[in-house]
Amino acid sequence: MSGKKVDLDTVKHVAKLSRIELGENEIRTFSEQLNVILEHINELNEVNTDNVEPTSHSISGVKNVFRDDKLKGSLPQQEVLKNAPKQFKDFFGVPKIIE
Amino acid sequence: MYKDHIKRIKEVDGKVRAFVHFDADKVEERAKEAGSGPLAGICVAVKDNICVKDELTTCASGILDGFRPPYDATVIKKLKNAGAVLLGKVNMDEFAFGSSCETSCYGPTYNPWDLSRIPGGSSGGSAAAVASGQARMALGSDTGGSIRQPAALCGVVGMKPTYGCVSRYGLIAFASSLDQIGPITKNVSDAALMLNVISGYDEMDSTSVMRPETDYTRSLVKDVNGLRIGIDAESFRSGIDKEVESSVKKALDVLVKLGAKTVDIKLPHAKYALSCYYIIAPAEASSNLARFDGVQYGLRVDNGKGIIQMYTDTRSKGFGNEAKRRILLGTYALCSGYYDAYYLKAQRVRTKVIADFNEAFKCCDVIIGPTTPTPAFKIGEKTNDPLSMYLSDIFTIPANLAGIPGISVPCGFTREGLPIGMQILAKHFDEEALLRTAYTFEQNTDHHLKKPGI
Repeated sequence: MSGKKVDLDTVKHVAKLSRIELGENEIRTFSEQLNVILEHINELNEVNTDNVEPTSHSISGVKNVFRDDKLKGSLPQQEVLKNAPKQFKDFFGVPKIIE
Repeated sequence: MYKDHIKRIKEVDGKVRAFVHFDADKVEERAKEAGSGPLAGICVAVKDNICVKDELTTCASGILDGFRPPYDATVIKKLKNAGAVLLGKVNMDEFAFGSSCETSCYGPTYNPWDLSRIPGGSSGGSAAAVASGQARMALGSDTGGSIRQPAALCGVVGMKPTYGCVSRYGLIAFASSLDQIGPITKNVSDAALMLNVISGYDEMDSTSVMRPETDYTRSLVKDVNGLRIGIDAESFRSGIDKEVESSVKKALDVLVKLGAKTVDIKLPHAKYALSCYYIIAPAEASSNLARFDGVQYGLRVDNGKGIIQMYTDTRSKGFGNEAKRRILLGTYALCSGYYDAYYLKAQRVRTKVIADFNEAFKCCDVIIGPTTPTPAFKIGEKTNDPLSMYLSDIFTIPANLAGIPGISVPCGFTREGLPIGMQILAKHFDEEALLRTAYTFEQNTDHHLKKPGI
């Protein structure tokens, strides 16, 4: 990971993947800031992690949780739709996707 | 009791600005409806990222403008059942991204001890509300220090329980492998009292850990005789403020005089914790925040240019700068081609950070050091320098990576009168050692009794 720079095109690409639009100034600022942060983070390369398992859950002995495949009560539809910026009948309303 | 709090909020919150959603009439209604229980009549402030049914819950972000959850978070349900009175929602850094409360879309909260300074963050509103007597207790959340750091900077007690101890159902997710809800209170007894109510297994949070029911108030014992305190000399080096250093060392002397022993320990990978965290946390955040797209709740910006542009316009307008920065950083770290080099590498270093703690706890019961490298800094001092802001969490982050519990207790003041916090860490689910050490220290000192002159 060392040596890689987050250039302006990389910021634009990552912003596009994140569905965020940035102005030219923002792209420049974020590129500079991300480089400073990543330069610091590159110190991780000093750590030898050969044969070290990655950790995604810090408590040992925890197992995946399953439940019986049975119907359970849930929130009423109107309660769930209440916060939608736009409703269409009993659905979330969105701009037209298919012509 | 609630009337005194309403009065106090009206008196001082114009200056402190801890509350972002507060309605005195509603508090009165809730107080009249509140039942009996271990927290009967006790007034609690709630961080704005915890869902309260039908009440504004916005994570201090424009993108959740107007959001009123259709359900209560598990911790809220438990507080209500215990008779607590909810005062309202308190300020935070947007989506808990920050250490100063300055990234809130509502503007900053001010430190009650010095209004020109930050209260810490991200649970800055919670800590400031308790410190200024506006709430007896508050709920915070801690992903990299967001309970302990503001508690230290505001001179109150802040506790991050073990990962899995308190249900996160209804906590709007930041980094799911790190987030934990916990109490911010005036003293250690209140922290134990609140933890009794909010902890416990919950089938609605699949990371919740099934454990026998514990009465944490039984840990409120004044006894540290024979307690082994691990000290990592490294945490007193590398540019820590002199007054913070001497204050924490004096606090250690107090515990030693009471019969505790100190043991030198080494956490060789703790210095990598910050870098590790700033890959893992933004990566998980970028994924968690993908849900904010203007479809189900909150803000929508629709200029009639199709759904993709609607998502983009909504997110571009709704998220603040720090949220955008973290989403970009996280998305970058998860990109194909970088995933192994960043995300996977950080998760492997995380394993080594945890191994260090396991090794250290073989020869000590608790680990003590400063909660923060410096006292509260000035508003605006670090807003343009994200890395220096991130460095203020350098001592709190390792506990989140390891999932172990931590508490910050007031241990002194600078000459200027700014609070200093001492952090105590313990093994997974050894909240008992944490509370006993904190309580013994508190009962033999008077730092927790001082109040800001606001």
